[in-house]
Parts: sequence; structure tokens; C-alpha cells
Amino acid sequence: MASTHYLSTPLKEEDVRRLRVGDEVYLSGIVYTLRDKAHRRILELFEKGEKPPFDLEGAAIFHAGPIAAKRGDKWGLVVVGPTISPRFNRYGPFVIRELGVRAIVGFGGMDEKTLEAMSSVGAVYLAYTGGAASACTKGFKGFRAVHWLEFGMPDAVWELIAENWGPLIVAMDSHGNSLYEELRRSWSQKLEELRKKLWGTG
Amino acid sequence: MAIGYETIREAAQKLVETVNYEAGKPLEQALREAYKRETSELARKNLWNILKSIEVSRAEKIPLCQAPGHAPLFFVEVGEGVKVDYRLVDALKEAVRGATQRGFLRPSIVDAVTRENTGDNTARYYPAVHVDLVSGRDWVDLYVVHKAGPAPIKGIYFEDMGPNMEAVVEYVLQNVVSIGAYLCPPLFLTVAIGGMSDMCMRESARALLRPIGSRNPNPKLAKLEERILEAVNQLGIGAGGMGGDVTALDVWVEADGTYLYIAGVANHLQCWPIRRGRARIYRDESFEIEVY
Repeated sequence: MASTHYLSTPLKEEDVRRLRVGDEVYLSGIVYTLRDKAHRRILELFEKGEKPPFDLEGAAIFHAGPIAAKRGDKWGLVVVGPTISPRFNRYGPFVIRELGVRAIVGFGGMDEKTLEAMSSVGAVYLAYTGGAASACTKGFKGFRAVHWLEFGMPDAVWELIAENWGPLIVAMDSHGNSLYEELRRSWSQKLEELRKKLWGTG
Repeated sequence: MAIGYETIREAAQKLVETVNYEAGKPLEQALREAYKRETSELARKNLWNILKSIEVSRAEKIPLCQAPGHAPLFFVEVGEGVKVDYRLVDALKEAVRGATQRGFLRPSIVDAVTRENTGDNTARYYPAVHVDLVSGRDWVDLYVVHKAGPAPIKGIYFEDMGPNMEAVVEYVLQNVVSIGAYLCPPLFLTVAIGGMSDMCMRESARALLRPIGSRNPNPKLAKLEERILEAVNQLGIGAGGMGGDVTALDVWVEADGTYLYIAGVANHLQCWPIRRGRARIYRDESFEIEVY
């Protein structure tokens, strides 16, 4: 039976261990947007023994790049929603094991190596509906800070202030369960069945 | 009197801004029907978020989605009875720049080599503009659509598709299974058969302008559209890509001539926030906007 959880960042291991695939989460606190350029920069810094100007221990990261608008001398949030997560698969184990990220929020899920890291360290993947950014944005009060704006608006790291942001669906949990593994198998199987029906061959 | 630069810019910018916050009624209707017939609980949750975002965007005039895809893509039809300022493409560029500055489009076009963001969604060939000259009209139609970033990722050549287009159906099904879940379903699927690779890609993009529920006038292609739609909706991908009955909202197929023994086939996988519409500009420079 799916249950609903209200969590605040920074997240502790026991917070995420309670979550099971299919549960709903409403998240409050700071959420960091992280896309292609920021992932690469963080990894480069890590390899040199350096740290980014923000701390991802216990953090929720969000695969997203917002529309932001300058209001006076401050950045205001227009809309933000999830981008396609599988392209960050190669960074999944790194951000979980080395940086202490406890929740990754995005769209489309991540791979088995990321799932393994989630199990061993205690982290989850939370999904939000792709394309539904204006509804998603209702969960945020705005920005606390921005880093690396020289990457451009989508690729900068924005610190979003979340307030009961959700519903986020637990799609990969810290007990080895991934909604996507099962789904991908079932879609391939359905394609095979369809082929038999359509062409009479497997 | 020619339709001037400033009129084109104004109409285009208004069109781009409007389609970004206003979902067309036929789109909303299709999504509401999907919500009614969907049996998966997770897909229904995703559809609920989608319907909510349509309401929020309409009420607050904020974009449905933060990602404009490949910037707005324009198809322009110039009627024989009008003259148009020759700086048409520049006017469309300025419109996109303006809509970006006003927060309706995220700057999302980068230099393909350096990956540096151009900051205003323009580049040499961005926004992409296709112009056609049309007889029997004395107005200009500006059509716009927002293609998802990876939407035009599929386009290939087949040597022989077979008389029943089996290879086309198979190709679309494979594409949907491999990447459909990541492209913000429920999807719109377009297929263009024939021509060279650039021609079929362009026509596959143009097919994104077709009304929901419309069928190709060629009965054979109409049947192919229905066949693909039915098959795709048996895959079980669903709204939000977490399993469900409604994977595609519609399928539009176009076909043209081709060379003797090969045919280009292109397939776009378009996200539900298709953000499309038309600005019709008349000879007196008045214009009206329709979102669908």
C-alpha cells in the first residue's frame, strides 16, 4: 500500500530508507538544480580534490533548468520542471556515494548502477511529470542562491526553496526496487506480443 | 501595402508567448479524455499534474514547460495577394529574442561546438523558418510549434517498406519503446515517408501542425495512422512514462515521392505540451491568433 511522506532537506539515511517504490513524497527545504555542465564541473573539481561552492551532503538534487527572470537585482523563478534523467546515469553513483546526495528528482529514471548505489548508501529517485512545469513550480517559493551562472540559465546551479513540493513519486528506492526496470521489461515484452499479432512472427 | 517588419514581429511574438501559456482547447480536451479512460493509477496522477499545469499556466500566464525544445519552429505561408517585408526571418528572430527576454522562453540554444549558450534562443538557423508561397489567399499564416529537444532524433532510410508499410509501423513502435517514455508522454507521433532525409524530416515536423483527430485524405495513409495509434497505445508506456494505457494522443502520417528504390522515413516523437498555434496576418496588418 503506497503511503505519503513529508520530508525536509537535508535528508538523513533513515528518511529515505522508509520510502518504497510507489510512495508519494512532499519535499521542503533547499533543492539544487543540476544539469550537464554542473555535473561535469563537480566531477572535475572532485578529481582535483576540490569542492563546489555548495554542499550536497544529504541534499535533494533536481535534474532541471528553470526559467528565471531578473526582478530588480534579484532572480525570480518563472517556471521549473524536470528534464530527462537517464542522460545523467554516469554521474548517478558518483553523486550518491561521493557527495552524499540522498534524493535525485527528475523524469524517466536512472540505471542499475545508480540503483545499486542507492541501496548501499541510502538514496532514492523521485519522479515528477515531464512537461507539467507550471504545476511543479507551485512547490517552490523562489531561489535562495545561484551558482555558475556563466554556464547559462538552464545549466547554472539554482538553490530552490521548496515548500511541500510534490507529489513526487518514489520510482527507485533504497531496497533495490526500480519502477523502470520492471516497466522496460514489460514494454519490450508487449512489443514482442504486438509483433506476433501484427506480423505473425517474434 | 506590404505587411511590415514590425507587424510580423509583433504577431510572431504574441503568438509565441500565447502558445507557451495557453494550451489549445483541443489539446486540453484530448488530455481530459485520456484522464477519463486511463486505468493506471500512476498515469492518472501524471495526467492530473498535466491538467493542473494547463490551468495554472492559463491563469498566471506562465509557460507550461521550462524547456522550449528547439526554440519555436515557424512555418510561414505567404498568400499570393500580399506583399511581405523581405526581412521576415529577421522579424521572427527578433520575436523569439523578445519572448525570451520577457521570460516566456528559456534560453536553450547553445553553440554546437563550444556549448556556450547564445542567451536568446537564436543562432544562424534558429529559429528555424520554412516559407511557402500559396495561391488564392491575401493573407499570411504564421504557424509555430515547439518541438521537444530530442523529438527529431529519429530519421532513416529504408530500402523497401513493403506494400503495407510494415517496416514503418515496426520502426515507430521501436522508437516509442526505446525513447518514448523519456519524451514527456502522452505523445504526438508524426511520420513522413519519401524524399531525401532533409525533406522527410521537414515534412515530419510540418505534420506536427495537423489538428488533433485529423486523418490524412489518402485512405491508405489514414489507415496507417490509425494502425500506428492503436498499436502504440497497446505498449503500456502511459502518461508520465510510468506505465499506462494512453501513450500517444494522435499520429499523423505524410507521404511524398522518392527515388526509385529507397525512401526516407522520418519520425518525430513530440511531447504533449506541443505549444502550437497560428497567427493570420491580413493585408491591413491586423492579425488574429488561434491556439490549438
